[in-house]
Amino acid sequence: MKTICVADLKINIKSGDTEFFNRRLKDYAIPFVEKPDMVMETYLYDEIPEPQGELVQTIKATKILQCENGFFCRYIKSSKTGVIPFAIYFTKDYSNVKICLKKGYTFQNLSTTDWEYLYTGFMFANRLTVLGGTVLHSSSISYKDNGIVFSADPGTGKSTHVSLWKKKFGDDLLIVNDDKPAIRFVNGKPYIYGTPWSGKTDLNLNIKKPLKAIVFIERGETNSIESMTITDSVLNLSRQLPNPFYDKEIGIKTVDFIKEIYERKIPVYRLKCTISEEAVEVVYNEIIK
Amino acid sequence: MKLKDGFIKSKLGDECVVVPVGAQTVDFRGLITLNETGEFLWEILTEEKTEDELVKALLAEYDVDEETAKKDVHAFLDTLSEKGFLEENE
Repeated sequence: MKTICVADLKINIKSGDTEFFNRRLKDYAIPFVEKPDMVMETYLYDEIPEPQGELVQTIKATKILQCENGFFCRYIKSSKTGVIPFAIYFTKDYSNVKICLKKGYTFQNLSTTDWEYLYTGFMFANRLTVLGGTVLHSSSISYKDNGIVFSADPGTGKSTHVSLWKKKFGDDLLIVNDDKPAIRFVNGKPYIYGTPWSGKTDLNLNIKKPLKAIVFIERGETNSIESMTITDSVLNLSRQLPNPFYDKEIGIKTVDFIKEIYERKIPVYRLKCTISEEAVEVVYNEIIK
Repeated sequence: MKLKDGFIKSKLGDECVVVPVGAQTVDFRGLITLNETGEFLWEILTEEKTEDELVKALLAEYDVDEETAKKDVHAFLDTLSEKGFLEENE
């Protein structure tokens, strides 16, 4: 068990794939603490023992049980083979999480390590959401302390757009996190934080920068940026912020966070863009210049 | 009929939006906006009501004729039903 500090949350963490996570977590390591904000452990099993408890809800193939010692368990059991590929035990406030994965579990072209990466990321996002912050699916940058997050569905070109910023501004441009930065309000002001959950790349920094704007990217024939309507902002934010099907309380907290974004007047834009330096200039001129 | 659990109404400035949370996100990932009367009817539908009761509530609150109230309530319920927001009793 080691301690990391991500977005000011102290987490005692035990990894399954230690090689992968040692690499991703090393910049976030701090001396061990006895009383962390979260404990998150991953265990790999040849066969995951069948979770025991009272059935709370069944959503499609997923079962949610209330177990002993204040834990809930979310898991899937194959009706054909009886195999349990994963079981995630969590307290209601996600302060204590145990992720059980079947060794060698692969699904949808994702390896066991990929699943560990995804589940630890989701559990961190849930914990941060409970504590009043959030994690936005986006690629995020900071240019001279102007933090901007670029969000969109996978495959739209967030990382590609951010790579164009890096090419244009070089060392003055920091890629805070390429996939899942955290956002928190501190004394009423919004900040973005790097997290180890940066998607396919290792592009993440253990830094905190003021958040200036949120930009939703759409592919276009030309480059243009405009303020989003309230309705479109809510729609887009609610799709890219934590709202897990297995816990409506997290969704409710996310709605509160969206309201805070609105009330604190954080600009939300729609960028229609091509893959070009001009797309970077359009954003720069609107938000930073 | 009444509203299903898992839809959160939130007011941002003049806009009133409803988004799904929890298990409701499995089938619906969008949002709906409510105008003033929609917001009024939404609140009432948090408890079991009939269409007639909604029409009467609308008539009591707003300066509107019965025919318009019936038409508006019916259209509103149609939208909610189509999007799967209602628990409907047979």
